[in-house]
This record gives sequence, C-alpha cells and structure tokens, in this order.
Amino acid sequence: MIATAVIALPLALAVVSLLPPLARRTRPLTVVAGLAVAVLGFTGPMLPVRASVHAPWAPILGLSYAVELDAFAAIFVAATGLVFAAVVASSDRIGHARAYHALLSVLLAALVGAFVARDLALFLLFWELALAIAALLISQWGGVGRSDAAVRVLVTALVGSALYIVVIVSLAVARGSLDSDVLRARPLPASAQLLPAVLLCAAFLVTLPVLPFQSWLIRAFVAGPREVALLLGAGLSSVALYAVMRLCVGLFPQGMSVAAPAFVALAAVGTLYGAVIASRQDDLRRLAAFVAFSTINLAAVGAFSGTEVGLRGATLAAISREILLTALVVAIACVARRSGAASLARAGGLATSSPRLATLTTVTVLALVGIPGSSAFAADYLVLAGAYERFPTAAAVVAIVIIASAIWAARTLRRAFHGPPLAHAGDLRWRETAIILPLLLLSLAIGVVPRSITDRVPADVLPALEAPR
Amino acid sequence: MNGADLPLLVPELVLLAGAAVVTAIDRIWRTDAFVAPLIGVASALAAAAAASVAGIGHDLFGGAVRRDSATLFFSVLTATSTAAALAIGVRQVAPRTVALLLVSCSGAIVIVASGDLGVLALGVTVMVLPLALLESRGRLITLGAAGLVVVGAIDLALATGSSSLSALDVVATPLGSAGLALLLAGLVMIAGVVSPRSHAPVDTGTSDAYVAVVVRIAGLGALMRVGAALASSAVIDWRASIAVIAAVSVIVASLVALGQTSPRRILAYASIAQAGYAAVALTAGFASGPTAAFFLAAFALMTVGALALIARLPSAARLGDLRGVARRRPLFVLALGTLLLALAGLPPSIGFVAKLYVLELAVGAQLAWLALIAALASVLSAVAYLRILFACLGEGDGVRPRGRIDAIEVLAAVVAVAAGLVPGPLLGVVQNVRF
Repeated sequence: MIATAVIALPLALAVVSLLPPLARRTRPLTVVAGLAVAVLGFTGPMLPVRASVHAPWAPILGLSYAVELDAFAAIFVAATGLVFAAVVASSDRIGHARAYHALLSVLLAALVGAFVARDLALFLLFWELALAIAALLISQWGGVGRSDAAVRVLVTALVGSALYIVVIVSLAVARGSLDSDVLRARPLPASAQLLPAVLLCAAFLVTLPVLPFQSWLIRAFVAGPREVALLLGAGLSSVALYAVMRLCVGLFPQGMSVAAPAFVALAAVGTLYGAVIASRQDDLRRLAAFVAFSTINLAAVGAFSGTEVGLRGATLAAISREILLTALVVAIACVARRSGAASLARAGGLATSSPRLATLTTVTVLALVGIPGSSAFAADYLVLAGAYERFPTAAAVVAIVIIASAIWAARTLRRAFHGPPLAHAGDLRWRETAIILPLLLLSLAIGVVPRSITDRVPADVLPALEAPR
Repeated sequence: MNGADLPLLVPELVLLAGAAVVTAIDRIWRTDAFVAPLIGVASALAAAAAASVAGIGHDLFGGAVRRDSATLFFSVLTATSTAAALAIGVRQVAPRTVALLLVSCSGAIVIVASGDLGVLALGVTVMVLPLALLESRGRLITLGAAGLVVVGAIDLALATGSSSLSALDVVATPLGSAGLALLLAGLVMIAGVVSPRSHAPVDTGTSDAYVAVVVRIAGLGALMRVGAALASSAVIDWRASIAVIAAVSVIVASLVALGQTSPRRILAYASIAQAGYAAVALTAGFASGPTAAFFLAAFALMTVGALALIARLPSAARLGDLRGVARRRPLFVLALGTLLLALAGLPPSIGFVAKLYVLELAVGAQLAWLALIAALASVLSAVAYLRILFACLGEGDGVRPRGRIDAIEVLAAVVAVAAGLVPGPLLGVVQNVRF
C-alpha cells in the first residue's frame, strides 16, 4: 500500500497544482511533494502496513502490478524526494509554471515508481514515462539546443528500452511471469544467464550513462532546465544503477560474473574520463554534467564488480552523489545568479563578496571529491575495496580519479572564488543557505555513519555464499 | 451451395446496398456534402452490427465462406475501421469515393472469411479494383498484387485439383509451389506494399486511413488463412519466408518513414512497419490468431485516430508546418501525442501491450532473432512518430488545425491509454480468435 501511496502522492499533487486557485502556489506545492515522498520513503518500511502489492495486470502476457517499498528501495526513494524538493525550491521563475511544476511532479512519480516496481514491465512503464516527461520538459522549457537535447534523451532511452524489452519478453516466455519475486524463485540456469545479463546491462549502460553514451546527459545539463537535468543526472542514473543491482546482478548473478570484466573496464575508464574532462570545462553546467558522469561511473564500477563490498559501496555512492550533486547544482545556480552566467570565464573573486557561498561551495566540491568524513569518501573507499577483490587493475584506474578530481576541484574553486573580483554581488540569501546546508550536513552524517545506508542492501542482491542451483 | 445461406452474407450485402444508395443519391438529388459520407458510415456500422449478430456458425457454400471466430472478429474490425475512416472526412469526401470504399470493404470482409481460393481471389479483386479506380499513381502496384493472387490461386487449383484452402498442405508439384509463391507474394504486397497515395480532389485522410488500416488488415487476414492451411505442410517452410519478409518490411519501412518529411507520409510508411509487426505474429502459425487479432485491433485504433488528427492539418505538407501547433491547440497535440506515443509502443498504451504480445509470440516460436530485430527497428519507427510530435511542440508559426477536436479522436486517444492500463477485456475477446 505504502508503495502505491508513494507513487500516487506526487501524481495527486500534480493534479492539484493544475487547479486554478493554486496558480501562484505551484512551486511550494511541488516542494511539498518532494518532501512528502522523502518522508514517506524514509518512514515507509517502518510503518505497520502491508509492504508489497501483487495484482494481475495482463496475466496472459505475464504482466502484473507488483510494487514493494523495501528498505533498499526506500533509501533511493527518500534521496530522490529530497533532491527533488531541494532543486525545485532553488529554482528560478519560469514561464507556464503550473504546467511545468505539474510535469515535474509526474516525473518524480515516475522515478519513484521505477524504484518500487517489482514487475519488470511495470518498471519499464515508469522508466519510459520518466524519460518521455524529461524530454518533453527539456524541449519546452530548455535553453539553446533544447530540441537536440530532447531528441537525444529520447532516442537513447528508446534504444535502451528496446534491448530491455527483448529480455523481458524472453523471460515472460520462459517463466510466464515478469514479477521479479517469481523470477528470483525460479532462476535461469547458469548457462543461459549470459545473454539476458548482457542485454539488460547494455540497456542500462546507455542510461547510466557509461563511457561512450554520455552525450545525452551532457546536452541535457547544458540545454535542459536545471531541475530536469538534475533529475536525469541524479535521479534517473540512480534508477539505472538500482536496476543494475536489483535486476542484472539480482536475477542473473552467474551471467553477470562472466560479463563483468567488460562492464567494469568501461565504467572505470569512464570515471577517469569524466574527471579529466571536467577539469577542462569553463561552462559550470558542463562541469556539473561531467562530474555527474564521473561519479555514476564510479558507482557503476562497484555495482558491476558484483562483490558484496562493491555493491554496498555502489549503493552508498549513488545516494551520496545524489545529495552532493544537488548541492553542487544549486551552488552553481547561485554563482550564476551573481555573475550573470554559469561560466568560469565570467566568475571570479566571489569569495570576497559572498563568503558564505564560497564556503558552502568549497565544502560541496571537496565532499564530492571525497575528503575523509564526507559520504563520498566512504563510498569511494568501499567501491575501491570491492572492485579490488576481483578487478585490481580497474581499482588502480579508479584510484587515479582521486587525483584528477582534485584538479577540477582546485581549478573550479580558484577561478570562481579567488583572484580579482569580477562580479559584485550579495552573499547567499537565507533560502539558498537553507537548501545547501542541510544537504551538506546530511552528507557528513552519512559519512560518519555509512552503515545507515550500506546495511540496507538486501540479501537477494548480494552474492550468495553458496552457488544457487 | 444452397440459397438458404444467402441471408448470412448480410454484411457484404449491406455494404453493397450502401454503395448503391450513395451512388443513386449522388446522381439523382445532388444533396449536401455530408449526406453521402454519413450513409457510408451508417452502412459500414450496420455491416459490423450484422456481422456480430450473425456470429459464429456453420460454414457457407460447402466451406468456401467460413463463419468462424476469425471471420467474426475481422469482419467487425474491418467494417468498423471503414466507418471510422469515412467519419474522418465526413464533410469532404466525394460520394464516388464513399461508394468505392464501401464496395472495397465488402471485398475485405469476403477475404477474411474465405475458405476457398476462388473466394479469396474474388475478395481480393473486389477490394482492390475500387482502389485502383480511386488512385492514380499506385494503380499498377495495386492491380499487380491482385493479379498475382488470382494467377497464384489458379495455379494452385490446377496443381491440387481442388480450390479449397484446406487442400494446400499437400502441394508438392512445381506448379503448385510456384502458385503458392505467387499467392503469398500478392498477399504480402496487399498487406504491406500498397501505399496510400490518394489523389482525390480534396485530401481528407479518408482514403489514407482506409488503405493504411482496412487493406492491411484484410491482406494480413488472408495471409493468416493461407498460413493456417499450410501449417501442417511438410513441403514448404512458409514460416521462415514470412519471418524474413516481416523483418525486412519492419526495417525498410521504418527507415523510409524516418526519411520522410510529410507527416502523412511518415504515418503511411510507419503503418507498413506495423504490418510487418503483425506479420511477426504470423510466424508462430496456428497460435497466432489471438495475437494478430489484438495487434491489428490496436493498430486500427491508433492509426485511424492519428490519421484523423493529421487530416485536420491539410496544409501541413512538411514537418516544419506543424511548428507552434502545441502552443495554440494544446488539446489537439495532447490527443495526437498520446496516439503517436501509443503507436511508438510506449507504455502504458495499447501499443505497448500489443508489441509485447507479438514479441512474446515470436520468442515463444523460437524466433528470438526476429524479436530482437523487430524491437530495435521499432526504435526507428518510434523516432519517426516522435518527429511529428516534436515538430508540433516546436516554436513557430505553423498551420492552424481545422475545426474543433472530435469525439472520435478523443475517444481513440482515451481508449488507447485505457486499454493499455486495463488490457484484460480486449485480451479476453481475442483469445477465441482461431483460423
């Protein structure tokens, strides 16, 4: 029930925000939707209601409406709700606000739905809904180059889902159901797992995105509205990573262990590539995009490695990057408001005029890079340790990233905040502080108690000690 | 054969009577523009009603005309689709076009009911000749397809010594094989290649929709009849041929649709790709009845709806002309977008369920390669559909849609989503469709 509620809530608020009396209140309402989802996600598994629903949808085709908000999905739901609330609260004035905020709420519902869906076709429904809405938002509310960005997002998504459909169709024929609980109870024989594992992973590689597929993400960050870019780069990437862990590793462990080296190699190189390219960006939106790309690849290294530590690390990395990336994007928006453009060429010396902004941004960037104490540090460590068990070379490549990240961090901070002041602008307003500061505190808290996240990875995702039959 | 069977041909007779009335009225009274199309819609709906009242029963004329579940479903589907196609251009369609389409539709119903090569050839001829009279450019292909069917049917009848479709599985002679090849080629052309290029004085979308939906359904229905008859044949592996044809038509039609710049042509070529999808369902042989029926019903709904909406933009010759339509007419674009996304097979729509159903059938028939090709090619046609939608969403000063949005179009969009969310009832209806 709670799983259905967590999907229905943002949808209901989307409908409410379309009503005329609330025309000027849509942004607060949308923030409330995000916070409510975060609270429901956080408390959901503890509430005394039935956790899962399994109802028929089209039994002849093997489709069912199966949703469950377990502890693993709940942390992702809570993080996504929080990210959503934070970025919408920081957003600027926008035209056709009612439609925009209603669509954003639907996008949130779709992302949350993808986390709680237990039926593979239902997951596809929410997945494609999220991508279609994101493309629509980019094409209608984006900046220069928005229609190109929207088309790229959609085409990438469609290619991914075409591969996904082939897998679920084969599973439906082989097992008569797409309910992942049923599929887990009757796993495919080890020899037949490789092909579905590869196809399914390939479907998620394009949307994570892993190395050669990043262009849609970059374009979405540059041309799309900030909220949508972040929901794609943080929310949708988390969905893809969650699906890799829950579906690829969870349903086809043997197939994944055969295919893992190739995927780990791609993700490891992608991590390094993203960090290096980020150090050469003047456009802060492109910088954020490459940071998002680099961090999701790092998380993917942990997920693809298939080791217990790696999977726990990937989960932590995904949550950590969602929170910190949101703080970064909001901080970049604050810089852009003060210097007139989201570009390092136009910023400079902001530390003198806006010390609080400089402090918070510095902490954000350092936390993203992974200074000890931040959630990213714990995540990086776990991913490295997990990858080292099976892929020492990949772990070595990923370790270089720490240096590459230090370069983009130092360069960005120096160009934006130090040197001769180019822009004279006020310091952070209380609302901007109130958005960034809690996110940073949350990251530090997770960094201190990483087990609050890593212990929630369920046993059915982790590699079994005994070989399954 | 006995005269008592005649009353059971009411659907065909109603259509022909409708055509006669339309022609007579046009000659004698010269009434308002919408009288003829309205009579056309009424007689097509009456034919659908008559077919569903007649229901399932004993075969007519010694098995030459079947009255099984497939006949019932496809007669109702073709007649209803014809009615919807005529309703698209209710104020614009010329009486002559209405009459010709009604005659053509009676041929389509004969085709899907045929249990005999002669009846099949007759049906194809009756369906195709009016189209040839209607069109100017596609005439040669249209008539050629019918010619292939007729010649193939004659060859087969000579080779087997019987004109019954059930005698096909013993074909072994070269003459018989050649005849079968010609027959299949002709039917494939009707199902896939015949393209909607109407050149009626006023372009209304009616003949577009009719050719894109009814003719394809009839062609695929005939292929299923022949396929069911061949199912036990050990001589010819017709399934492999159909699989290859399906793969090629899905890929080629999607690519061609991608290259088009006119919204109507994109939809037209994408409908060929959809026919290829339906052909994927045929490869599973006997079991394909329910899947093909579901897919074609979904296809008819979505295509007629989308073509009806596009027909409201008669001057939109290129995609660029659609710019700005979304800002001025959001509801119009909402309905069109819903139908286009459904055609592209995105969930939760009837198109998604239909796609899944077809692919599951192909995988179940050990044709995973075909499922993979079809799934990937569907990305191409999806992009083609989405180009129309994105053109509408773009900024600019394009054409203005004609008239208000109609109940038919809203209904099509709503049903396309509702039937995707709750596919149970339609799935239940098609489970009995057997050839």
